[in-house]
Amino acid sequence: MVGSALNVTINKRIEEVEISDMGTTRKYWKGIDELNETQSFLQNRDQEFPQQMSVEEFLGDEKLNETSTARRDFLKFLGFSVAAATVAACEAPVTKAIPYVVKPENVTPGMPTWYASTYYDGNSYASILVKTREGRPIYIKGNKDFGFTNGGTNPQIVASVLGLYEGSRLQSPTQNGASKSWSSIDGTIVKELAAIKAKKGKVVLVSNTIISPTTNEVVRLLGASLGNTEVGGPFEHIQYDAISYAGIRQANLASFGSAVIPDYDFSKAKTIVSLGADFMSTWLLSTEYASQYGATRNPDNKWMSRLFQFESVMSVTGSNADYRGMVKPSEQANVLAYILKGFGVSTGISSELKADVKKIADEAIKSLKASKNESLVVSGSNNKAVQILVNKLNSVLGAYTTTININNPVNLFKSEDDKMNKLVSDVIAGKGPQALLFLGTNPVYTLPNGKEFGEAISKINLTVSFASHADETATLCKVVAPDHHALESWNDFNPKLAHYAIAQPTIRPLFDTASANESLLVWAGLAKRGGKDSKVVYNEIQKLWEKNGFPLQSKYSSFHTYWNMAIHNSCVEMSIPVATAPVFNESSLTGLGNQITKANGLEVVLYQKAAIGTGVQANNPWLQEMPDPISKVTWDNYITMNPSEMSGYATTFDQENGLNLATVTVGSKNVTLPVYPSPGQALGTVGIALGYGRGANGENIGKAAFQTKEYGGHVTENGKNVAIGSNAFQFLNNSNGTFSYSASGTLVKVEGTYLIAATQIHHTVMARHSIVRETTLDIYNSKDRSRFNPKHTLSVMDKDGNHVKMDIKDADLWDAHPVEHIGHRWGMAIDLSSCIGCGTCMIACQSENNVPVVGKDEVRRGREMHWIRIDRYYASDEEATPGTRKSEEDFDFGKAEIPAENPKVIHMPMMCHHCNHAPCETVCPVAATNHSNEGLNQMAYNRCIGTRYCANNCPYKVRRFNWFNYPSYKKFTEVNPAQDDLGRMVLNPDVTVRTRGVMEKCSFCVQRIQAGKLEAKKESRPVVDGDVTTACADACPSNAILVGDWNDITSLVRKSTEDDRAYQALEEVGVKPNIWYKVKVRNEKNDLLAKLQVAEEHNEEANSGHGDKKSHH
Amino acid sequence: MNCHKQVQGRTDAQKEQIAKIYEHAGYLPEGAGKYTGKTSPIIWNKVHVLPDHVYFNHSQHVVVGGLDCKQCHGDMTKQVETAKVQPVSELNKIEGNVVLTRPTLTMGWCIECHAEKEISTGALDTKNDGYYNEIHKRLLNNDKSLYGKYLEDGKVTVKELGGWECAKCHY
Repeated sequence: MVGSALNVTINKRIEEVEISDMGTTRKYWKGIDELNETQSFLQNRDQEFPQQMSVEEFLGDEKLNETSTARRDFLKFLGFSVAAATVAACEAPVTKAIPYVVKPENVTPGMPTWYASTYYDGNSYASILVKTREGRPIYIKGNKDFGFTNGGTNPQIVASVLGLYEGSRLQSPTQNGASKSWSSIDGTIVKELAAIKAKKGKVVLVSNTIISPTTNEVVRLLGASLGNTEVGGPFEHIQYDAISYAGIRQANLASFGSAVIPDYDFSKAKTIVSLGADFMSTWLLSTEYASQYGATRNPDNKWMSRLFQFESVMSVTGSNADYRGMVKPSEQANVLAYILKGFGVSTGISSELKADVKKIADEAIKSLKASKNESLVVSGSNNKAVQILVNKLNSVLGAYTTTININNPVNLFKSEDDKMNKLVSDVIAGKGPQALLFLGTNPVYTLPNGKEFGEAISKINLTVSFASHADETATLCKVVAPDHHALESWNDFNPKLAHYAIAQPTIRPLFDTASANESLLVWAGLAKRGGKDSKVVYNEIQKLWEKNGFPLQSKYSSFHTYWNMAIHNSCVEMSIPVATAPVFNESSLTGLGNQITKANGLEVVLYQKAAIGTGVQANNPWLQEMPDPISKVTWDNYITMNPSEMSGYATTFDQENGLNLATVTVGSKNVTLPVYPSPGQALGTVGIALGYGRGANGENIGKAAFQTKEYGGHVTENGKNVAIGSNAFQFLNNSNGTFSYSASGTLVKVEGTYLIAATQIHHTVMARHSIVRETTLDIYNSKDRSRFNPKHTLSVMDKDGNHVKMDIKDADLWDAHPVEHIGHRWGMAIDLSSCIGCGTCMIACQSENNVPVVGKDEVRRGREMHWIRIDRYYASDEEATPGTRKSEEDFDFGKAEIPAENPKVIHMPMMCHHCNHAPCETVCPVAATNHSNEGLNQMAYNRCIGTRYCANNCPYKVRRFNWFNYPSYKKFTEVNPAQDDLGRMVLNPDVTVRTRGVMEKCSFCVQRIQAGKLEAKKESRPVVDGDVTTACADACPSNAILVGDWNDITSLVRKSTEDDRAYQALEEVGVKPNIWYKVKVRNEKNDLLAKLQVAEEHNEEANSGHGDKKSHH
Repeated sequence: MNCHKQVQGRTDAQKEQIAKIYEHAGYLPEGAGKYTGKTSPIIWNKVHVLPDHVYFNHSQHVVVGGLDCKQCHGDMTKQVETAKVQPVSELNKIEGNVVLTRPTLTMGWCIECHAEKEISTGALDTKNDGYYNEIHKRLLNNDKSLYGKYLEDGKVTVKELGGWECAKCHY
């Protein structure tokens, strides 16, 4: 096989590579810069390493610099250190091994132990598995076996393990800022509470939504101890979330008589209409919905869902939509009214729509009418009236018995916005309660009038925060009683009516912290402190589950086995109440017009980013450095604006020159931020992400939460660290009793520019179109593979001088590595249809493979270290226009393009392709990167001398160079968690921490491959699907990534790579990668694409005379 | 404590060693013996310092590879001290050991053995192991010359199945 391919190649002259991408008729561009071909873009496009760097900077050693060491001296230093190291190696220092006195049963050094647990931070929820090594939690992934989240997580959940080792966590309770013992603060609080009780004063606990039955019970007990009865009393518990969904609850109260959030099932929805709900990334139970949605995106299934998204800011969900309409927040109601009118329902609300939106709404009506009750309509609005319209539409569709179950309501997000607002105005007016407790909430940061509230709480006798850090609220509280990190404590959860879950500790508390549940019990006089090994909360949970949970089931006869099962699985399966259709209360529709938020002029939309969310983990450098799934900007927030509207505001669009600044004003509040061009942003709107501007008063919330200088150290102003971005929560406003996340405002250009760090314009793939492929469901179902996924061929001349076509895989310049039919060949298939671009894989990879954080300045230099990136390509419809498609020779994509106002988007995970003809391997002068017979492109760090030839030769641009010693160099002290003893604990001991001067890249998680193989060998059986998977595949909530042994002809990955949708990126280059992509199938009607293909079909039929009806469907 | 309640040492030297165990376990052997509850870990001198950048797994060698301890640790029945990896000169004296030349615990030593040591004498299926049977089947599907080359010396060595590849130990 090898020999013959070689002969064919040398006998034939390769005339040209024919890039036959008939299936891809869209031009994808990676950024405004690429599209406009700005000067700086052109300069940098062809350079793998954009910035020039001096030797001094590279060495990063000030001493050498200061003494202006001559080269000869430098070599002397070098010679000395090599000699010293060699001598030292002969006489190895004696190191000591300290074993356990009694080895814990479940700890085997060198072997991971996994614990099933549950993640809940007030905003995200998931059933998780926590990997511990030698007692340290080091990795979190979704639990695919138990819990309704089905293995789905998000970047924040995976990254939360790093928060455990955050050095700025409070290490003991404090009183007036001074460290105190627990007995001391307990004494203070109990005394104060008793005094307040005696004076019949009021105590208020403000918390995020509590879904823990135990915490709810503990809170009730504290209330009772303060004199509460069933009807109330001096103690009040207010639930207040940073992101409120009160609008949905109020709407359901009006429409159906109960203030619930129903259980949505996206896996049953053939048509999904979403009005600004980013349900794949941040909205409600997105961890569950992302995996449900992913399951409906396989075009080989019986049916494929169709997603209509009407939104203002391009969201992760919107970027995946089959149809996306750009609407202002105030127009959401009009879209709903228009669709309802299509079903013959009049609402009294204007159904006027702009022409482009109307076209999409018409398609939506058609699709909804076809899928009837197998449809789902959701809205991200917190406006009660909008949600009532959503309810009406779902009711008309009959969705309440299929995709919506109102009988199994969601218990998350019970924010009582009206009560909270009342409390805030009372406190500000000085009429506040005598004691105020904050649990899992940071209102000084998240309230629109947080500043005034913060100033006012100092007037209250007793203020207590349970925060883990001295955050915005905690620094203003008299007492801080720091709660454990979630991975250190017991907890239980009731996220939906018929679902109970448990979180178990995976490490002994690192610091002198205590579970908030324990603190509340102690202050209620019902428990004594148990110290680090306290069983107080564990006993309380167990007691409650024995009393309430155990009797609900009949499967287990003893509580002991029931309890062990619950902890082992982290949750209990319960029968889900059958969905019934509630009767829609028609009177709830009357007078809606007045309740719809009116807007005029520019509308400011506040949204959550996938990585930062509400800013709870703003101090997490993994999340700060994760490029936003859409903008690809790291370490910053900004104003998003449609580039077509930016002419008045912006003169620069790229990170080389910085972005223009602008001030957005809403009412009396304003922020000044850079303006970022974001195609797809609804005209007349701008977007600002929440969760930034944390620690604006220099609160010690963690070193990664603040801006850093070019050569290390924090940026300071008046002696305080400067926060990253600005707090957009101040723009929240109250409308009809709920918080609104959009507002009318103005935007004014400000002089000056601001430097951002985006990964978007780096690593272009030379604008070749054989990279991403896309088709429509219709074409996929009715046409042959040659229509939507044509094979690359080479035009060659045979011996007789005739032009013939040759399969690209037969072209070989040199001997192939023998990877087929020998041992394993590790392969990966990435389905672009189900990849939603959420970024969870990036964080999972970072956590698994000790990928260093490099900080904003290095990202700006194009030196981010992520082993996996997600390329986001915008499309332009211009390119697909039939007849304008030019031949390859004279068609200049870049210049011909005008940015689409509302482009289609495709997400493409990109990592080392482990090419069997790897260009990197051939140029390595020291064979540091070479091929294994299992198809892996290996990196031997110890051999690497850092020439970087390999990175220059990589067509996928996935190699990463260690420019610095990230775990020790001062430039990275603020951002790299591996720089302190605590942060280092998160490192995976199975993976080397790379040093300065070596190249690194995706290893296909070779440590997992080796472990998986060893497991099979020990059991004397072949490796099967599931033995080996990579961190990215493991983390993917929509199961877009499939990994396995390609040489096993029964494996899933083999089958997947052999079907009609499989192709390889840049296949025509002939590097023979071990990664396959699957053509993205969009479930849309695309006349341009269809017309183009009919034309081609006719041409080809004339030439070849064979039809191309597909037979496999 | 287990056995050492009974086995308390005959010579003074032995008694001295075992007294250390008692001390760390918090055990007072006098009379019927009792535990004080004051325990402390025994601090050992680490005799093998494998560099951080290399991964070694005993079960791969012992359970899967079927290696005898003596290949690296020498004849432990005759040792009075820790089962430290012995110098090559000592190891080579032991019957049944693969004879090697490079200093122990160097990469040269590892890969020399990987080149010599057989996974199977004869074809892989003679091992009658589910994992290697599958590899055997795949090799038969290949251009036969490869498997033939492996078997020229009558055995399939670790090296031939990839035991010399960097990422088998370095990652």
